[in-house]
Amino acid sequence: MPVGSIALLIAIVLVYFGLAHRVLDRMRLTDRQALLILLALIVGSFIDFTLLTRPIELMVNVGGAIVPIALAVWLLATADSPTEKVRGTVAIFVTGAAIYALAKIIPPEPTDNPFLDPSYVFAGVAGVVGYLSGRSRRSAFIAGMMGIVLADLAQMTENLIAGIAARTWLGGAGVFDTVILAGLLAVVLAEVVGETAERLVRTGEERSEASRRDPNREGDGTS
Amino acid sequence: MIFRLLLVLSVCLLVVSAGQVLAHDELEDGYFLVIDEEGRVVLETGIVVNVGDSFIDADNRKWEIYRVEGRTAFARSAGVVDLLGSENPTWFEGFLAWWRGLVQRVYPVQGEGQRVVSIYHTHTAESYEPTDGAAFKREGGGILEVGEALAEALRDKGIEVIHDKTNHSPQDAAAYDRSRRTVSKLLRRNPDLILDVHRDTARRAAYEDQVAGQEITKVMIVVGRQNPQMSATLGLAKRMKAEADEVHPGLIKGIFFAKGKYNQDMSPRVLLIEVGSHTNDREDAERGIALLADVIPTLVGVGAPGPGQSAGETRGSFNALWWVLGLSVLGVVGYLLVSTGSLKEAREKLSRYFSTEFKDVVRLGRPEGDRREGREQAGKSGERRPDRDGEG
Repeated sequence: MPVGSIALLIAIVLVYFGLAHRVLDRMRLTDRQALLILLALIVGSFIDFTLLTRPIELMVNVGGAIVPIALAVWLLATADSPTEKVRGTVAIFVTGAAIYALAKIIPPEPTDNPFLDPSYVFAGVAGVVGYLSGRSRRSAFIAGMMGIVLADLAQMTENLIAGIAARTWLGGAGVFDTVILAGLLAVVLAEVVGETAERLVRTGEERSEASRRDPNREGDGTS
Repeated sequence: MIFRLLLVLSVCLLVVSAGQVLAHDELEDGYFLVIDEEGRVVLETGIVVNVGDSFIDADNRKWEIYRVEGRTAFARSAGVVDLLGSENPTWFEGFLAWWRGLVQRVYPVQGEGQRVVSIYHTHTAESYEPTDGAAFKREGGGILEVGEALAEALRDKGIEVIHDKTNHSPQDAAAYDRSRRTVSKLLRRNPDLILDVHRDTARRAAYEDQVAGQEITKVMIVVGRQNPQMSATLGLAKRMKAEADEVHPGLIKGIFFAKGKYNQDMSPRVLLIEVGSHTNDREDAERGIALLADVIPTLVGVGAPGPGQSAGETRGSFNALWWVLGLSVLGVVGYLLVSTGSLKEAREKLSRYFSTEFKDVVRLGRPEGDRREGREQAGKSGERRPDRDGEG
């Protein structure tokens, strides 16, 4: 491969894996656990299993589907409260339904979409829906990943009913699959939304505290 | 709370039902006309044209689309493009050329490696109406046979070809996500070129032509501009056109720089080509793509000791590299500003991050207790980890 392309790929891989490690680190994992999972995602990207050949072909990639599913189940199982567990589970189904519906509603050609390429839209919507319905970074991560898997399974069911002999390949692009991309983007969005909201609350509290101490400052026009 | 979420779920399911009605397997009929300031047609294509798109025509004139009204797009000329960009190499390109020469002198490559080209089809249903009987065939359209014509022509030239015919139906917005998995599989063989072969939806005359004494359909290269490495992809596309202009002038209709990314973010060696339109005969498309096979050996470096790459392509790769790095830095700075609210706090947060997190990684080999102690110290020094409590 030409040197320019190699340098470009190295940069993209470093940025992507750096982001992935930071996100995993946000999931109450130790550095060692985060690195091990990252390694499992990368190595697993080269391993596929065929689960079904008839009546429809169903394949699963270890790095793009099995590791994320296992991680999601583990994160759900170790959630602090039953509410968080239920909320996380519901978030998965809401995200899956939203992604499946979105694929049908938005135009099929990337050029026909008003904003971004559908891949980015799917990951973004999975992130937003996952965060809004789960209300936590962990739930957003779980819903982002599992929502894409569920949407793929829903499409498989539709193909089965319609008699289309198309292959369903869960997480087939491995660590670069939309499953992982959606999970990462979900946490990034949750992080930005969460941090912004927290900062706004903090600023509001500080301002009301200050005005309580010095009532003359209230209404001085600062924003 | 649960009730509210169930309500959201129900709404989503309703939307799904509506989606079933709205989902379509076929592109809309019709086509876009791109015209210049004097009303001459620059491009006719079924690809939706947007403001900000550009097109390099058969004569290498670049057109920038500045207005779209209905199905008519207006373009202004941006001059003639030097496809190979080799006239004025930068000092860095000069350095790279010198370095490559040095490496080849010290470690001369004996013979040439086997070149690999991969072909796949995101829209497996696409067909050629006059000869295939329909514009789309869900079980697999005529486009698969056009891909096979290219595969056979390349095999005759000694190139190893992987032609993946995985069906990515239906042709909805998730089709590129499904074909992304196919690209991922193809990338494991480290191919020198990956082609996503499509056909356009335009009038017959838009692609019909006579090249090398044969009735053929022309080929249009599509480069996605919502891709971090678009400069690298564009560099490869320009080189393909330059080679084709040498071998079979008129074969390449042009390079369309469009919205989307078409899985070109997966590798700088992925190109999308439109071979004719649904109104053309499939046999013409097969002859057209077979002519393209004459261009590909040079493009992938057959006969060359190393991978061939023009100065323009190298420049494209490095331009893309700076974009990726620049956007990453911008993203981090943006996040820090959003989460802290001021430059001063952002700087402090960044320095806390370097003083604690990197230390953690370096100390990976040490017992967990030591690292926990480090984190506790970081916590005492004011590092906030709001996510750790699970609530956002």
